[in-house]
Amino acid sequence: MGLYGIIIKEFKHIIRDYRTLLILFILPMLMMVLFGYAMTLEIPDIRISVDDHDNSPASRHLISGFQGSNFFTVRPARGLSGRELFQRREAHALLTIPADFTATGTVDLQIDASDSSRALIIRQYIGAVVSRSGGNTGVPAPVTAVPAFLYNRELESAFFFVPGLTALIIIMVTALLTSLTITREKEQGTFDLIKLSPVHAYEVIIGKVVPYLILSFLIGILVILFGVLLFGVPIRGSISALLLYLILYCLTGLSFGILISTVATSQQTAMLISLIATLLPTLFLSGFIFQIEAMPALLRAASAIMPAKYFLIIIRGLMLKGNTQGEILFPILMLVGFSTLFLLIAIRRFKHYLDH
Amino acid sequence: MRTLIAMIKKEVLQLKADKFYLRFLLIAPFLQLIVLGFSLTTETTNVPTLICDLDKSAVSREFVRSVGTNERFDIVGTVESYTALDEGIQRWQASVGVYIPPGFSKRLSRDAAAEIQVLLDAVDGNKALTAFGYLQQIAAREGIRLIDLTLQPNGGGTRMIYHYLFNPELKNAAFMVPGIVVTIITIITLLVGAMSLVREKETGTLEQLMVTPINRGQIILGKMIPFLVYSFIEVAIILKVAQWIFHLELAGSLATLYLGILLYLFSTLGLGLLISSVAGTQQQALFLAWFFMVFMILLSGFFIPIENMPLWLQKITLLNPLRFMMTVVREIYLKATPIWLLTDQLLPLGALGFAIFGTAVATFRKKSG
Repeated sequence: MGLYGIIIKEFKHIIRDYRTLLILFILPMLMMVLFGYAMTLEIPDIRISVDDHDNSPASRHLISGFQGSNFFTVRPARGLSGRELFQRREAHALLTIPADFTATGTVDLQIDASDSSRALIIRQYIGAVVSRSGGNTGVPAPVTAVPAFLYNRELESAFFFVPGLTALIIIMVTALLTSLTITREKEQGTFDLIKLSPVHAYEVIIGKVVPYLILSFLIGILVILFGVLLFGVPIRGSISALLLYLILYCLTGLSFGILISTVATSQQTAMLISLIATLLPTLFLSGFIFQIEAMPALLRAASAIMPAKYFLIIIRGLMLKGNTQGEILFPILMLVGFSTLFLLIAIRRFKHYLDH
Repeated sequence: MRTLIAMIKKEVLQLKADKFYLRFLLIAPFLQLIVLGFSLTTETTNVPTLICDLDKSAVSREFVRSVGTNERFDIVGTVESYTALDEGIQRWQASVGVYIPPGFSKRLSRDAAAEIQVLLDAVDGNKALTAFGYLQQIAAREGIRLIDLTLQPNGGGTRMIYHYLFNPELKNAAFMVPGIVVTIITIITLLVGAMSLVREKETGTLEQLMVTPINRGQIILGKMIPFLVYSFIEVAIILKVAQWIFHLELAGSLATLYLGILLYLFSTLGLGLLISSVAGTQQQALFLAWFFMVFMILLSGFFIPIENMPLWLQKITLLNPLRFMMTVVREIYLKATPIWLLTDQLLPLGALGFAIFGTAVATFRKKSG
């Protein structure tokens, strides 16, 4: 009966704070829409300034190659140096055609490399135009690569970020919210009252966890539904398996939240720990946005202990690849391991806290 | 003035009292700098790759070798059939599968035209496209080399000499580190700002403060100044650490950078204050702060270029102070852009700060009666 009472009490807390609840439901939706429109594949719009000293048919032919392409916006350099142009943010690149261009066939290109990956793309695009105008296309490439884009033929970015966003939002709701509610009770002293009442440690924990489990599960479903309906992200694997591991992942986050609350003494501290230990790693180290393989070994090792990494494989596998559970057995086992570990430590530490 | 100093002292004392919190405030930025500096790479390297070479000729082996030695790809295994390749991707062993059909070398020598097939895990569309681009390059280059076709050197072709300005080694960190500096400041000042007043509200100490002779302006200033100082010191330290770890130097003027940060702090601390007066509990304040933080960072051009966004979204970013701060810090840090070429960024930054801070003070006045 004590357990039931705590669950009801916790639910009342959640519902009474309708503003937090509102944010919790609106934030994911807004993030989804923003991500959906902001994270598009790179369609370059390269602003190139041209300084033509040659002014010959050949140089004009070269420039027309840029004007004819919709990847470029061509502007005259107005006598400014590359440095000046880039500091004014007027151009990404400056192409200088020297006076002896017709004779030597050599041009000079300066690129604003402050954004290194953009600089590389710019060089490739400009290089293609320059070599095409030089008439170097006589020989077709002897080996051509034929691509088959699996699971996402249209290369929709939503396919990529909807599962990631689900992982992020759930961690946010579970770890952050749970750790905050428990430390809040500590801060306000209401925990001392619970200590005096005849409830067990596990009853307190389960009573705290169940409402947030339901809440985070609902939000997770909402995010997935939103992604499916608005962005057409498929669910190719088993839906029941997807729901099952969604609950499992919620549980991992919740137990981590409880763990944090046994360490933190104030809500501020709880907030900072959950920020650093769960939210930021989920954002940066899980493979949500940034590719794990491209990281140095130390960070790759760090990402191996991120529950979010495994959940991402599971959810992407079930939604996009149509994986069977056998095919993603390892990440599933890892996630099970993490939740059990966190939950055991959390209960232990929490019991210790209640007894003292 | 003396009440203000007393208020600042109180804030600092309060900060010092919570050892854990203080330690976090000091250590967190470095952790973030290191983790983000290394992980925030939009580059595609070491893509796990499976090979299926059914041609098994010297030429095809040579081709596989050139894929393997390329830093973009990391060959994790070889399989014997197309289905096995497909299955490897399905089972998460690799994200790229290269299929060299039987008769590849024969076709190459006979027709000077052969095909390889590339299977790409397009769950991450961006990565798939980039990886394919690199593979295409390798195929084109190796194809020419393998077939021993030499292009006429300089035969009428145009030669392009290129220079990378400001970042000749194309270090990704050079682009990311200045962004991280302002992101860290955003996170800390916004969160701390949002929590500070509401905490006093929740514990009831704000009412006690109100009945003392201190006025509201002094309360606000007293809360803000410690974090102003903290941010300035933090920036200096982070820049120093970035120098050790990433070997990056501040190219432009530190004074201009600090001016930008000062203007920017009016926005973040103001927004924090606004949240603090609107929210009823620390929890609400935190979530509201998160809400703003996520959008500010997402729409700042930090890792999603604003130029790539649709026009209506680009217009929305004009309301985002971090967007301007991001440009300012990157320009100064990497390109040493002088202040007069940054006025188009600094003016909106100041205007936004003024507007946000003004609203925050007005709201605080009204709320606290």
